Amino acid sequence: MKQKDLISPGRRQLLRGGAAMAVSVAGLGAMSAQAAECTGDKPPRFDEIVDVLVIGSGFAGMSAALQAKEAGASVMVIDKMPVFGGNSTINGGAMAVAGSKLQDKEGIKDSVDTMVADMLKAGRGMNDVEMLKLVCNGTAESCQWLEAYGVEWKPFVQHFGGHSLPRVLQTVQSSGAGIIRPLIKAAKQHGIEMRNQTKLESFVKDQAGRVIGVQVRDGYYFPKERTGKMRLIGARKGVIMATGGFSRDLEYRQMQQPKLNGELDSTNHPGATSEALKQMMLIGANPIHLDQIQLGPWASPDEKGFGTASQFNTIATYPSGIVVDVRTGERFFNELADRKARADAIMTRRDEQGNPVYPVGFTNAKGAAKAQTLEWGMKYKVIQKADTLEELAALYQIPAKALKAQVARWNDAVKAGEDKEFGRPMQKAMALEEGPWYGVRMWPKVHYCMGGVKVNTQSQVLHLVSNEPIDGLYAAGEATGGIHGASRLGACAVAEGVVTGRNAGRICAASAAIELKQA
Amino acid sequence: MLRVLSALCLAALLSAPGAQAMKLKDYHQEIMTNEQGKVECSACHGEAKRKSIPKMSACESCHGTAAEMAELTKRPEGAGHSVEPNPHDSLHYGSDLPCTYCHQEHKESKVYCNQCHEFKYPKMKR
Repeated sequence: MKQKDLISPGRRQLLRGGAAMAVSVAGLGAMSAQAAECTGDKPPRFDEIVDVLVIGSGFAGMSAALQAKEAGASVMVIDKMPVFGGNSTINGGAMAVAGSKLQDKEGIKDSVDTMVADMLKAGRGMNDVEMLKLVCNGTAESCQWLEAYGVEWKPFVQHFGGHSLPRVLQTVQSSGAGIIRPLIKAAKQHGIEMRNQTKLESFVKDQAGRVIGVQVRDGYYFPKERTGKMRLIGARKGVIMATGGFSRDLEYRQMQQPKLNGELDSTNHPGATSEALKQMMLIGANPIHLDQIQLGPWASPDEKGFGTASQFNTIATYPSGIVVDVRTGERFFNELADRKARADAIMTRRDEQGNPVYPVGFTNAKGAAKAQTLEWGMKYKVIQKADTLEELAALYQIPAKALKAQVARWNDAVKAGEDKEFGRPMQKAMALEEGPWYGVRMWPKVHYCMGGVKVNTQSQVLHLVSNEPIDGLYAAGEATGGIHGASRLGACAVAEGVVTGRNAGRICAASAAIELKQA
Repeated sequence: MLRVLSALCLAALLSAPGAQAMKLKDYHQEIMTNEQGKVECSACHGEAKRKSIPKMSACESCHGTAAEMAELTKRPEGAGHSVEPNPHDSLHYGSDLPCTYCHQEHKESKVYCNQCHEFKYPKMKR
């Protein structure tokens, strides 16, 4: 039987009907005049109206949407990408929680104040302390909120760099998808409108200057800028911007930090660009710390993006192994320092021409026992296995004698419980006694924008001139600036996204609704 | 010889306004061609203008839903890292990704996941 015969005439008919229906989108009239600077006499007519409109579907967006829905609001989430979840669904799924049940179980005494102090230290004191407290204070309860939506954590606490003690929970999937997928499922179940391929073009304001909706490209095909039909979506209570950072916006990130050029890869998804931020600035939002852009110190130059090495290094090499300069076989930094300190240290390793000399991180089978990406990393030769230290040295052209001496010195430090050379916290340090060894070459990648718009503790976006809230405009997560100061600690973006997203969702849903007109 | 070639080129130019010039995958060529030998653009594009990107529903009307497609490319029970992930049921995106982000009719198809990963899907028709 030929392929053609397999398709019934009815099915082909259906195909045509379906395609025809898909293109019949409501007409828009004189719409562009209503965008952004809508101060005309006639109030705009919207194609669709909801109470709360969330832009972006990562941790902050999905948390805002569900929290607003819990409060009884009608909610729509739009995302310009073909898929939901932005960076959140491709991240490592690790959340810093001060005072978790798992910490209690392991006898770890933590507090909100300790977490605030750790984040302030990493942030070099540049942090917005009120927002920082709000985030840390909300982690324990938000962790339970996520569990209620079906998020599952690994049954142990991890010690990530820059934290003074183990407080990091991680999804069983080792991915933020373990949070995003359950939240999307819940959103659909609870009647939240989820729209992908819908890109924010500009804000719609009323005569009083309040944000009352947005103009979007409906059916947008990333990254083709002119695709999609223009439509207006109204928001009776407010618009919540959960639009993330701009790590993949090469032009804009280089305006902030010329050194972050195209030679540096990024861990981010390709949609992590600056248009939404610029739209907020156009209506008066105050940009804070835009030049504070974080590099992820656990990435490998031997693969694209976040990859397999980032997971391997955070759960294995950094807590349970060491990183050495391949030319000397010696350690050269505290492997559990914050991300900025580690990335800066790694990037000092260059030859006379200024080209990178990739350092190598390694641990042994015991240290790598919990690394879920080990097998995948080995499959793609990002992570390499060696039975002995001599073999490991040969693999990466490290002087073998020096490497063995370094391992011996490290083991002495572990026994003494103190790293006199670089001051690494030793609570979970492990002596490196026997092979097999697993090594990975390392070089940082652009990872996170600490900067963004200035918000208050009500998650309202503040105006550049008046420092008063821009009515109807809220922001949460990476889109906001100032919480992390000069360097965000690992696992604190999930914490920030969920806590500030819920904060924005709750407050926006509780605000007074305005009346809007349907087209 | 040259004359034959230029005649062929001319013929191609004259007979190829719009759709006929668009390359189709061979496995779609026959199905999309009507009794008059003309490719029916509307089969995928509906009444939309040329260059529009078909909606997922256009693909689904012949190939079944995303969930049905995911079932077809399911990994064997307990498969390890030696078996590539199910491209139609991703850990990160489920089955949300519209077909056209990987499968492209008029140019070479690509794997969306491979913006980060290195998955090999030799059976994918490019």
